[in-house]
Amino acid sequence: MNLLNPVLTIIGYVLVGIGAFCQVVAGIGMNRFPNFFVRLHAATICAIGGSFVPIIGCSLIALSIEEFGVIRFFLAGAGFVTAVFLLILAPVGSHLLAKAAYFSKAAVLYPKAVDLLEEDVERGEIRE
Amino acid sequence: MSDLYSLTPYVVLAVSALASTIAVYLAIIERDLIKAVLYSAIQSTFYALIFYLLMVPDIVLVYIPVAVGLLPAILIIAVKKTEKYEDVGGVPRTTSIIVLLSVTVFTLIAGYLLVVSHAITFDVFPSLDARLLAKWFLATTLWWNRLFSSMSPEAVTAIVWDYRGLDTYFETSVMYLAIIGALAIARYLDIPRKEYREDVMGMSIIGKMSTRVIMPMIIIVAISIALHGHLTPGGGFQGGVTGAVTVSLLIFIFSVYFATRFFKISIAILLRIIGLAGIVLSATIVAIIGFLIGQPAYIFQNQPKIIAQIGLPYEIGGNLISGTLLLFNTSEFLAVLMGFAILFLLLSIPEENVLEVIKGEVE
Amino acid sequence: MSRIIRAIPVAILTFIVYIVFTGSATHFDIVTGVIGAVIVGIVFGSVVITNTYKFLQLQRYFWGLAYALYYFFIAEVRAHYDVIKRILNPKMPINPGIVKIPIDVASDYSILAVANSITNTPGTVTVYVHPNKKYLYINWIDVVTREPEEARKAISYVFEKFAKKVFD
Repeated sequence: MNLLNPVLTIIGYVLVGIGAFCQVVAGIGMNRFPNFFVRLHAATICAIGGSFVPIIGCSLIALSIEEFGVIRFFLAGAGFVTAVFLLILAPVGSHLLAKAAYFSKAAVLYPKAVDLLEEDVERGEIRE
Repeated sequence: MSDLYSLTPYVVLAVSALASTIAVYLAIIERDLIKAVLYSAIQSTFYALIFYLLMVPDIVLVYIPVAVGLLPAILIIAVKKTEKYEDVGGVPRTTSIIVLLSVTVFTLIAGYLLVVSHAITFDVFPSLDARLLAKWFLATTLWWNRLFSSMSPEAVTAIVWDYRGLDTYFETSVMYLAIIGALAIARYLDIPRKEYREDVMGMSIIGKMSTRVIMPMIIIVAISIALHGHLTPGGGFQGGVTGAVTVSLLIFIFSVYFATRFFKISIAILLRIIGLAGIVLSATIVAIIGFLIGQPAYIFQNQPKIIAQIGLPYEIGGNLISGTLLLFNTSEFLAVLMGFAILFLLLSIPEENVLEVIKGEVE
Repeated sequence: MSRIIRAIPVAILTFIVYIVFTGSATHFDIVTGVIGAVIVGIVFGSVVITNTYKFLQLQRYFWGLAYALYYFFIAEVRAHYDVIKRILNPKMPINPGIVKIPIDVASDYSILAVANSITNTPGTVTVYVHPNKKYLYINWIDVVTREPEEARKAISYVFEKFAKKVFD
């Protein structure tokens, strides 16, 4: 375990660094992108690259600190479970937001290259 | 250098008193009411600083959100609904001078009182004794001497349920009284019976399927938080609130008619009563044992004390359970989870049904 | 009876989550974990599980592992790189739109896996699932094609293949 600890620490710090970078880029993207639907892609970077990855990194760092004793497994385990929750729930939030914004017309999809959903709604295939 | 250090609070106090006085004056003579509200918020901020220096951090914690946040917000809304400018030609000069003078006098009196208090306590910042006390608590919640310890490594749970058990009991009883009030108001109401239909009700299939996967995990994490409250950060209330997320997910993602398959209000009330009985039992269990075997014991006693030599075992087979703390956390988890389930279910009764019931009662 | 059989996989899954979250495996953890997992399994078993038999097929776990490895180390990295490049590019080359892709899987969990995989990769967001569960509507940051089959090859073909192996 002693030999593994520095490796875990380095991997953890690299993952946290990636997370920080992704958060900054996602913030820039939030500002630059033109409308709600495109901003959702920046939000995805925020959720996966900016939250999921650094939480895993924090768990690895916690695992590598032996001074914490038994408590470090609690920290790491809570981190892993949180990361899995995030992985399952973050896309659901994005999807439900996108769906609600689209059908309530709260956000307008412009600029757009193509909108096949609108065409299907107009044809009466989908009633929402 | 140390002189300068001990002078700092007085300098800050004087500056903030002066600045708040100026802000009050500006707020009074300003004709644009929005700006006046802002000046008043600035004055409140300085007052918060003064309160902090006078060593009342709990008042600061209440004062900042209310006086700096809530009050100006309400005032600004009120101003927006009415008129932005005072139509009388400002406040007369004499009135404003009187107000300014009285505020100055108040500040001077407050400063004088501070100096007097300094003469008594010789210190303005929180003394180092307080930190010693905290260290003592952290060190002795799990100690070799059972007579002075609650045998739990988690200091917060130890203080909440053992050292200050009676306080916590009254705090939690406030919430239970609130739920009893809600139940009493809604005593004739019930969730209408309706078949749950997968294709019509609720959110999209992605939301439903992921909720199906995540619900048992949320509940098990809540159970873990509650049952390990005496070992790691957490406890019964935290676990119960985490678990209550499941009920709200069931109601909002699926439908209230789907949620009633798991949590009927009557069953939730029953389980909540079991949880409350568990809390009462854990509070009195040592006293009951003492009564039965004829030894002195206290209510809310956990480990043996010097004049009450009985207590619950703090470990079973080498596993720390901290006596009553585990019982408290388990019962509190059940009671809080079911209390929130009742509230969510009551809140999701459709308004038409409520109106029907009310009409029936009136006529 | 079927209720109890369905409860078993849920109980095992929740027990694993319990032990991982707790981070220790003393007797206290195992006893409380088993009690909690059994209660949760009985309450939620019939909601979560439709076919218990699938849990016994070991090849599904290997496919799941392969899915996770492919997803985290290839799909996510590629998608992140692509969108980050678009954000940092001064001209911001985006061409957003909603495309329709066919999806051919049997179980609801496969649809969840495919849709969540699509949403979790930056650049694509699932906006709507067709009521007959045969089409997904995807908001795509760079619409290359509007033909459903070609879009499927570009976005979801690999996810669908893995999801079918794991969940169907």
